[in-house]
Amino acid sequence: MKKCLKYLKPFKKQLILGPIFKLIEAIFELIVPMIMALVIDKGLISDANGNIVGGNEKYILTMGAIILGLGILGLASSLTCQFFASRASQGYGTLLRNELFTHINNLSFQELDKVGSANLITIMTTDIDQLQTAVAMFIRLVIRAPFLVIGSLVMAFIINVKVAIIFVIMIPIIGLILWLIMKKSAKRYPVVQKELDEISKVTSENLTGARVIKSFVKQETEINRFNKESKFYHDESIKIAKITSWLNPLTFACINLAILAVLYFGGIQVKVGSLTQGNVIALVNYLNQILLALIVVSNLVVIFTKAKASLDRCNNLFSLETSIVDSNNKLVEFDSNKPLFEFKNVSFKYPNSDNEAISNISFTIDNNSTVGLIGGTGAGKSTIIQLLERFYDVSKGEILFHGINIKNISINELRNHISQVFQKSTLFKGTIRSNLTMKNKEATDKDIYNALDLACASDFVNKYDDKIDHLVEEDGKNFSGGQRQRLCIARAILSPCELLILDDSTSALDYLTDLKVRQNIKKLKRPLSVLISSQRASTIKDANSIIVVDSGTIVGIGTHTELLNNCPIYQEIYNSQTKEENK
Amino acid sequence: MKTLKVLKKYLKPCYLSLIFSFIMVFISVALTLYIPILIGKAIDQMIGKNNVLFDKIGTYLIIIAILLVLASLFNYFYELIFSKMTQKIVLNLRNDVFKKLQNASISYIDSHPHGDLVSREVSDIEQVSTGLLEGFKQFYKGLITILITLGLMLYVHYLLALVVVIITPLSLFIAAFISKKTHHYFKKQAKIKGEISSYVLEIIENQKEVKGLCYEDDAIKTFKEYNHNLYEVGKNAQFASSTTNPCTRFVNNLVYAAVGIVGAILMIHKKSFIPILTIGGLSSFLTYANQYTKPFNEISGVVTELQSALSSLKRIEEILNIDSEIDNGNQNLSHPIDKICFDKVYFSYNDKPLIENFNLVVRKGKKIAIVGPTGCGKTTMINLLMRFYDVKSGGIYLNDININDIKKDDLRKSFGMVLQDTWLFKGTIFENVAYSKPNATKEEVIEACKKVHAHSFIKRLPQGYDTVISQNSGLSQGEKQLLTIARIMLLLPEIIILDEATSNIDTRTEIKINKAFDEILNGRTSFVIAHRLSTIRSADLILVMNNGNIIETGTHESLLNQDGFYKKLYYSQFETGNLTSD
Repeated sequence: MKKCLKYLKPFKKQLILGPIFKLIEAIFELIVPMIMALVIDKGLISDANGNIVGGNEKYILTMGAIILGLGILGLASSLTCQFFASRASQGYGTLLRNELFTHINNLSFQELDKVGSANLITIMTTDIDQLQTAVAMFIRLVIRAPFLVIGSLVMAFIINVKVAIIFVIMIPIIGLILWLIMKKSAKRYPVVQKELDEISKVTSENLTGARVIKSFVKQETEINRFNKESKFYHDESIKIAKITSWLNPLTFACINLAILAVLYFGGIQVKVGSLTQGNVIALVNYLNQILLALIVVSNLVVIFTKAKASLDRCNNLFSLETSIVDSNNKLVEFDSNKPLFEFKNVSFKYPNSDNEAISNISFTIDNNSTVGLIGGTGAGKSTIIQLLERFYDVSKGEILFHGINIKNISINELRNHISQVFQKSTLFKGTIRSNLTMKNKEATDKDIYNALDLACASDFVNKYDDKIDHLVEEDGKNFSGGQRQRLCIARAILSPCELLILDDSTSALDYLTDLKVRQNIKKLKRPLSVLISSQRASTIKDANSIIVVDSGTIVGIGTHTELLNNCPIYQEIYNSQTKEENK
Repeated sequence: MKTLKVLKKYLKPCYLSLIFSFIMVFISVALTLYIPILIGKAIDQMIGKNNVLFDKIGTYLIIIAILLVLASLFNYFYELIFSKMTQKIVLNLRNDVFKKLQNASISYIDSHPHGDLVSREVSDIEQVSTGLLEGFKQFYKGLITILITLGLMLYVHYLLALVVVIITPLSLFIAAFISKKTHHYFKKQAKIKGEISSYVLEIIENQKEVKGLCYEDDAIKTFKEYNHNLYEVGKNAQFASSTTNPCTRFVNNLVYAAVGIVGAILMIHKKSFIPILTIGGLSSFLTYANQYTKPFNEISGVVTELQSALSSLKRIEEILNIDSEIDNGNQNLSHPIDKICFDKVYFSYNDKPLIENFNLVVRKGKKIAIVGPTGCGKTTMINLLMRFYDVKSGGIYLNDININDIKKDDLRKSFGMVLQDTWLFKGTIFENVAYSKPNATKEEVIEACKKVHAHSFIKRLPQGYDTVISQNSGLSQGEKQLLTIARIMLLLPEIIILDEATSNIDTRTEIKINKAFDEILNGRTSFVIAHRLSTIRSADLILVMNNGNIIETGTHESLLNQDGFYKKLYYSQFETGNLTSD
């Protein structure tokens, strides 16, 4: 509960002063009907039949001036309040957004996987907006609306206690009506929301499958399927409309029934002489004011209910703490004679899973060596790589970097020694240059062009007039899959690292380019080990050692020739890809 | 306002509801507004101590009570009928948009981000429903309230009414002024918000890269800059827009005070041209003064909603205006298809030629393989053959009929496609397989699945053929592909197209899938695109493409003997080291 709310602290001043100013306006607003009653009762003189026979013009004008003055003061204090509200709520939203974004970036995948990226994005956008609105509404309305209700009630009591009883009865009845209607419709909103999700799912499913649908000539079927979903949505919406349509008529009827009661009982009081005509008018006015204020209150309840849900989500996210503890040990002495990486009996289980993704894995990556990692989809190749980079911590066993457990090295230090190209090649919005220098900010133009050459990317980059300053759109969608992959390879080559990981990262390249890139990497004149993970046997065939994984365990380690002799799974993989060749 | 024309078409079938709801709201508002007059008259009967005319008050109270109930009921029906109409329009609009998308050409679907299309179908229509239609509901009620109030005020006391008429437009001026001032803040805010969301999306979805590149701190810095910009614009946008309510409220108070004071003074100065005003009359006038200005506030509040609803409507209109796939085909395709002929086919996309002068004749039962590097135009050929795209010049002929003259549905029904990305929809396995043949019996589906070796894994699923699956269900890539192959097996069209069908599948699984392919390809004309060359060795004819042209043709053996591009391509997948350097 506390996490998100503590960021309200810098805005204490606005949070207190804002409502106070709003309160001042509300007080003025309550006084106005009273003054009007005075105008009628004291400013005018009537005869026994109720006909006006004269009045005090000066008194009336003075009262008019007072009302005007109150209006101006009210406007000024209300604007002050709005000013505080806009600064505080916007400021709070900004602060919260910064803090959450930083928090998310500091979490490890162990936590991020649990929340899911779709949720994270909703929290960062919709939920924070919701909280921001709630803060603004808190300052602007939370005092004003209830105050107007209670204030009107108090005023009614001041005017006449007996008639005021009508108010006491009516307020809870209207409150009950508002509450019932809101509760009943609130129950249905999630159903409508779910239907809307269905509609968007069906639409996007259809867009993805457009070719298949057209090839089977199934447009009509799909249209019918969609029409059914949108009809559901239609029906549910009408169910809600049937409930909410009662809101205005019922509240209107209640308030006017109260007015009827005021007229009747007020009439009795006038007869006795304990109430004046002007008083009755004022009472009618207060009742109307209560109705307006109660409707605002009901809207506030909706806003704060939504905000509460958002607040809970934000707090949950804040309460997550990264399970991968960074080592503060900045000065670690590496023994560069020890192997670059060593896995010792490593097992790992993903947070949401019951089964181990890899079990009891041991292997080494020597300095200046090329290591191949081969296996089918789901064999555990990517898991091994993610553990190496400490995206997750091992469940059992240990991973050593130059002889030191990677848990004892600062995370940035570790990751700066590694450079990787993932299967899904990701470019960020910006330029080719900004993408390539993400990890190596000191890279010169010469370095960049050199990296592009090695990644077989210079041919298409050089075609742009602005070369490496060419814009990269979101997701790099102005590049083809193969181009994206080559740029990612260039980015990886550009950063000074000891281990280059290619995680199935040449899959979008044809065999020729794939081969050339690998040859170029070998030509790099610096100490570098390469870990290539692939499904293609040809890609890793000449590695110094090849690790064959199957269902999360290592089933063979050795050179290509050794494995062909003693590892049945490797033979199977190799044969499946070169069947005809071996016949 | 031109955009509203679209709505006219959808409003037309609802004209009865429209008229009904207008009658309802008119009666309801008129009654609602008449009640304050009666209240005023009742108050007039309370002259003072021992001078209250109860029998008259009683009559008024009864009338008020009756009118009250009627006004509430009519109001309820107005709201209900209007909501029903709104939902009906939303339903039709949504169905039409979907139909448009369904019949849109593939080039439209390919060239528009799907997320954007979905949000037009979902959130933009929502915006129109809440902003425009519901807004219109308020607007209309407000307008009628203003008109009737004005009439009643003039009827009760024209001089006092004049006071109200002169002051209230001030509130409209202020609202218009503020909304004009705030508009550019809001536009800027919307833009920055969009930037922030896409940045958040980019960084969160690519956390692996961000962490791998040690880019977290840079990302946080950039985000804070964006966020700071949002703060600067947002605080102004929020403040400026939040001044509307206090300002119009101030004008309301002005009206209220003016009516009270001027009314009281008029009562004192009795002149022949001044209509008589009673205290009760003044009271009802004060109520009117409040009611009269309230719709102005509501309407100005609706304006921002309305603005965004209009821009949403524009986005929806864009979809409604897209051209459906053109189908001028009127000739019947004769079966069997003995000959497929590409004649001088040329195709370009965005002025970039993808296929140039492509000629090919394929006889029945032949297996044609197309190979070449990424982006060389392989898939384009299939797109042209299926008429997902149309050739720019030249022609494609089936049995000597130009495919442009064949009904698209007939043409496409003759082909069966297996694509790289498997497409399954949310439904049972049975429904997914029977997709190609809606009246297929359970036996037929099982038979097809057995033939493509999918039966064994389906049997092992918890509910067998009734297991509900979707795009992201737990099936492996290979299993999903087997289901799409079973789909084709069930229908067995004359011509089969395999477009990189095994690219996402590891090679050991691929062997199983190839067995399934053997079943469906058996004796059929087929086009096979693959970048794993081992899968296409058995083809009758291999086309080697590069940069939109066929550069080599022949069988596997003859191409290897040619010692050209194919040979290089073929051996690159086995060799690792010493490719003869170029």
